[in-house]
Amino acid sequence: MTAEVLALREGPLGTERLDVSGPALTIVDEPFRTLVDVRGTTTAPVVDGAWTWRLGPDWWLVDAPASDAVALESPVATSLRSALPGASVVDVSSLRTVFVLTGPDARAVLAHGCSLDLDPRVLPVGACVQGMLAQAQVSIGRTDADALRLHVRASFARHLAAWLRDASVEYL
Amino acid sequence: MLTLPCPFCGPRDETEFGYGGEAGVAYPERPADLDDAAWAEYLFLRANPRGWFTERWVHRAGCRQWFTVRRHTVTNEVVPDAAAQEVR
Repeated sequence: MTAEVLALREGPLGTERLDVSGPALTIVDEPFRTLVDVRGTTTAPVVDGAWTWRLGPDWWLVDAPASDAVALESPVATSLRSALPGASVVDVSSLRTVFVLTGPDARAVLAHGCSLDLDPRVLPVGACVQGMLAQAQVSIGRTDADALRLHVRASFARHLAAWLRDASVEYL
Repeated sequence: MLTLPCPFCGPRDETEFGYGGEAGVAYPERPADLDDAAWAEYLFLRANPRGWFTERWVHRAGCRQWFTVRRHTVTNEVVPDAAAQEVR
């Protein structure tokens, strides 16, 4: 039952997936991540196996693997709520979708439409910046020396996927 | 394009920000006692100096924090306003 229900899910890109791959670049989408928005605490929420991005002074985004349970909200949100009394904890899994860019050319692709400095000295592993990429609001986090995760609003996902495909042509 | 100093994110392009007008405009203590002219003055009339102006900005595409800067209206030079950061 659960597997059948989960198989019916559709990401913001619909049936077309983002799948760009070149000698020094891969871009894929990860549509069903568990995303939890935490506000009102200056201490980082702790979730095993998840990336925790600091979006503002008291604003965090927890980026955890997809939940395999069919529920009204991800179990991560419930456990965070009891761990962080007083903070606002909201499951925003369907608000944003995740694009993963890996390879030495990943930064160069983003530089075509983004004025943010993504140098590893400015944006070390685990750090996150928010800004505009190709007229869409995104947050960009670094997970490795040449791996970046992009969180974009679901309604901008198709636009940004088309833009990334176009911008990456010269690196393929 | 202006470059604005966000206290949390650092210097960023003006396109990421929203403008909030003059800083330090206090809400009237007894709004019901104001006549129409005084209420209109509170709502609409702002200083329009030729020179340094203290104003509010919100980092809309970033950390969503409101902050205060001083901007020179002729040269567009922008400096963070340390004293006014407390006005939240």
